[in-house]
Amino acid sequence: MKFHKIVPYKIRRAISMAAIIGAPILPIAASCNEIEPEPTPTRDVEIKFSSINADKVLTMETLQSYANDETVRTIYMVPIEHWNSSMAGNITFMRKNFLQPRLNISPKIHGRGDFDFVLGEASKVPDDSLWFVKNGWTINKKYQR
Amino acid sequence: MLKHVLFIFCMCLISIGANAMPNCPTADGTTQTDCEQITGCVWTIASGCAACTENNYYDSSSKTCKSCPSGYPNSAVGSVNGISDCYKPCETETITGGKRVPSSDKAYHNTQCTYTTQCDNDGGDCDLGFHPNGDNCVSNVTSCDNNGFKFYNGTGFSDCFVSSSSCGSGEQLVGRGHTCNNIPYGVCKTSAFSCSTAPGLNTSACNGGTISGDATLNGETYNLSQCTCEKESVPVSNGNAGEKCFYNASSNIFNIDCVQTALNSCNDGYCSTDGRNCIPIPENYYKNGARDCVQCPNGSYRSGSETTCTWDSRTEFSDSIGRFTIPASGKIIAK
Repeated sequence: MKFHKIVPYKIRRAISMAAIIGAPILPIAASCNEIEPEPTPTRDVEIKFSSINADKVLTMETLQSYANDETVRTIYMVPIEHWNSSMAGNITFMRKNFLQPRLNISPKIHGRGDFDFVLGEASKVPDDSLWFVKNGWTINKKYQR
Repeated sequence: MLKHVLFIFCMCLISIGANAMPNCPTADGTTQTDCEQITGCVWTIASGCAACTENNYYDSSSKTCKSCPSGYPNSAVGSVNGISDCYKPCETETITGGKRVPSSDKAYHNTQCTYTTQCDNDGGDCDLGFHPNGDNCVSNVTSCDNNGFKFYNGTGFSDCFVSSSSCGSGEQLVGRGHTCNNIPYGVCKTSAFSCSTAPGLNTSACNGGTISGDATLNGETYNLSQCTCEKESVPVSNGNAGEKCFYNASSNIFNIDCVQTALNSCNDGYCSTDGRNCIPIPENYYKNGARDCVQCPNGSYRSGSETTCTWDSRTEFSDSIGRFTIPASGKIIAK
C-alpha cells in the first residue's frame, strides 16, 4: 500500500527552499562528526597475583576486558608474595600453560615484578628464564647485584 | 650388600626430606591426580604441581594451599602439617631497664611467645641497675619516706638507707657502698650498746648469769668481744665458785678467758686458806662456815676425819680442903 501525504503548496515550497539553502551545510555537519577525537589510553593497570589466587585473578575474561578498554594503555601482570616452591618444571609449566596464553590475548599485556623461584631452578630451564625476562619479569632479583 | 646399604642410605635421605619441602612431580604429563596423591603437593592452574609457598599452609581436605591467619602469618616453604605449621615470630622486646628475650624465635598456631626478662645493670646515679619483676624490669633503688632509699639486695628491698645527716646522737652511719648523687647512704646504728642489749649477742648463753660490758660498733656489726657473763655458782675443784667469761662471737657462747671470781664454798672435808682453792682441811684446822679454814683455838687440836677441834685440859686449883685437879675436855663445833 502506498501512502501519499498531501502537503499544502506553500509548505512544499518552503521545504524546497530550505532544502536548497541547507544542502551545503549538511556536508559540513557530517565532517564535524568525523573529526571528533578518539579516546586516548591514559591509564596502566597492574593485576597482582599470588601463587594461590593466580587463576582467580588473572582470568582470561578479566584480561580481555581490560584489553578492550580503550582507556587502558598497558596491563601488567605482577606476581606478589612468594613463589619459592616453584621448581624448574613449575617454571616451564607456568610459562606454557598460564602466562603465555594470557600474553597472547593482547599486545597491551606485559609482565612486571619478580618471581622468587627456588634458587637454582630457573637456571635449569634457561629458555623459559629468558622468556620471563624478555616479557618484563625478573627472577630472584634480590640475589642479583 | 652394597645395594642394601645404598638403599638404606637413600631411604634415610627421603625420610629426612619428608620434613622439608615435599617432592612434588613436575614432569610433563603430570596430572592433578598424580600431584594430589602426595601430601603437601597442590595443583594450581598457574604453576602445576607444587608445594605450598612461604606463609601458606597445606589444607589436606581441600588439597590447596591457604594463607596463614593474620595472628600467625608465617610458615616455611612446603608446609605439610596444616595450619599448625603457621607461626608468628617472637622477637626481643625492649622495655624500660632491660629487654624481654623470647624463649623461642617463633610461636606456632594457638600458642604464645614466652619470654625471659633480662634487666640492665647500668642504672643512674644510684648505680644499681634493675632487676626482673614479672615481665618488667624495676629499679634496684626505691625511695623511702624519710629521705632515704631502699636498695635491692637480690631477693628483696633492704630497710631504708639514709644519709649521715639523718643519724641521731649516739648513732653513726654504717654504709654498704651505696651512693646517690655522690652522697653515701647507709643505715644509722647506735655507736655502742650495753652488751645485755647488743644486737647479735646470744643472751641465753649466759643462763643464770649476769651480762656486763659494752658492745661497740665495728664496721657494720658490733664487737662483742668485751661482753662478759658472770655466774655466781659453778663447780670448781672440791668446791663451788663464781666465774666470769668473755663472749666468743664465732660460737656464740661465753667461753673465752674464763676466770674464777669468788670461792663460794668447799665440799665436805675441804676448806680454803686462800679464798681461792679448796684443800683438805689441814691438821689442827677446822672449817669455819662454808669454805674457810680456821686454825683450832689454842689448846685444841683436830686430826683425821674429825670435823671439830678438841680441847683437852686440866685445871689445878687449891682450896681450903686441899689441892685438886679438874680434868676437862670438849669439842669446838665447826660452824
